Amino acid sequence: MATTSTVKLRSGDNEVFEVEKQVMIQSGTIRNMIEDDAADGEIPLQISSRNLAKVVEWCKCMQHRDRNNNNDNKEEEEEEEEWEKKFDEEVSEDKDLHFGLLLAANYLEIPALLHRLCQLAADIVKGKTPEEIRRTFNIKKDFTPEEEEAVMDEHGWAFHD
Amino acid sequence: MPILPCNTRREGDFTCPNDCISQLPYEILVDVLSCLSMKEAARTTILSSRWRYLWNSFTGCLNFEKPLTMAYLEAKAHLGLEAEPLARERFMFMSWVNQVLGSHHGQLMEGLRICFDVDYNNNDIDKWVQFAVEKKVQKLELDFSGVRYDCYERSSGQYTFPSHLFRCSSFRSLTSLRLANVGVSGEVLEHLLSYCTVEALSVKESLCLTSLKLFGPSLKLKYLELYVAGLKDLEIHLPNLISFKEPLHYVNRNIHPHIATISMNVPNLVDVSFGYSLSDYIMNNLCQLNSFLGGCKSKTDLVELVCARASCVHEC
Repeated sequence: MATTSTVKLRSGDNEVFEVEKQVMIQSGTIRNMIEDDAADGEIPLQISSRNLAKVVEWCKCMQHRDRNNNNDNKEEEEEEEEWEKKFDEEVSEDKDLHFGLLLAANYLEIPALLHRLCQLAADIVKGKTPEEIRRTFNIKKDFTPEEEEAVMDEHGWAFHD
Repeated sequence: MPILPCNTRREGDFTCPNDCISQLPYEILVDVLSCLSMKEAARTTILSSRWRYLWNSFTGCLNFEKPLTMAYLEAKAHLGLEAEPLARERFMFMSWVNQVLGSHHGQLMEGLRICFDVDYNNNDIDKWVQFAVEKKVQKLELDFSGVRYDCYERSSGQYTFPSHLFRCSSFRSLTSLRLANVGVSGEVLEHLLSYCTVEALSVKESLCLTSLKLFGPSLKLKYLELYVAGLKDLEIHLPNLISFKEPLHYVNRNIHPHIATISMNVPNLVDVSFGYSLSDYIMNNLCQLNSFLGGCKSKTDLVELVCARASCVHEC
């Protein structure tokens, strides 16, 4: 087993983050490296320092929450909820951050973070017409009229009550 | 047509000048879609060719219902124009469900909900349940309640829950089962609950449910909702049960169901409402009410009981 209690993560733009192993085992990718004793040096990641910092922050918050789950500390609970709310808002308003974190959570195998980010993306899609969704995400409609007709033939039921 | 994931990225970052969401890996987009309702998810097929086939891997809850059509059919029925529109609407509904289920390639599905006045003789319904078993759904709801006619009773047949589909296959994923106007016997329910971790069970109008005996600390059942006119024998000894509901009002007021034998031990019940079939039992056992409800925690239960009885007296 590895001797140190921390792990060093090197971002794509060469910033090093030293984090407790206990925090980072939420990532399946890093947990495997720790278990294989392959985490003693720095772990290079193709993730920008901005996104990696956010991932680490999220993992710390979740680990803190899980550890205090049995305590009835109302103040800390409220603080955590406040942090999560701020995280959700920040992510929802910044597409670069949102999609960068989606890729990072997918790559690092952090299911809870991935699910949260997918839910936030779905919340943005909800209640919008296809045209509004295209505008929101800059999606270019590339169907020929025939293809569009075929899609409507198959899925027309989804467009009316 | 199969769809291949487009340049699945293994790295964490990318620049996103334009359409960044469509550049996300296939499996992430499917996860996003699966957080949407079925209709919202299906509507994304029209966004662009990248999105066209994602829907086929949807893993959320499939929800088939046509409340407006049902209301239209009821209105027609009141005017005595039943047969023709019902047959046509049934055909369209069945085709819709078959088409959507048939187009799905995903391995898993969170839930399947089908609510319509279907023709219970149709063989396709078995295939729908088979689909639910294969996709290991957690929530299954079949509500085949018919269009309501004030002037006459519906024929007495109903779809029988295909228990043979469950025996050999494991359906341990199931946590919530709701059945209405579906025939399911006590034995089938008891068997199903003995190996599934069902936490919520609702059964309404099952013609072959005459006796239900659920007991044992291993049963995870927390929420039980029953409305079964023919139920004669009810035994529930469920340490985990926290909610027991029996709808107060029944659609057909000429039927006053009555359960002959009742035995209950539900020490953790906190949420309760009773209708006709238990009211006699409660009135006859008022003095033992405390023991009947075990350690029932909520004081409002008593108020609800009295209300239920008052409602019964009033209706009779």
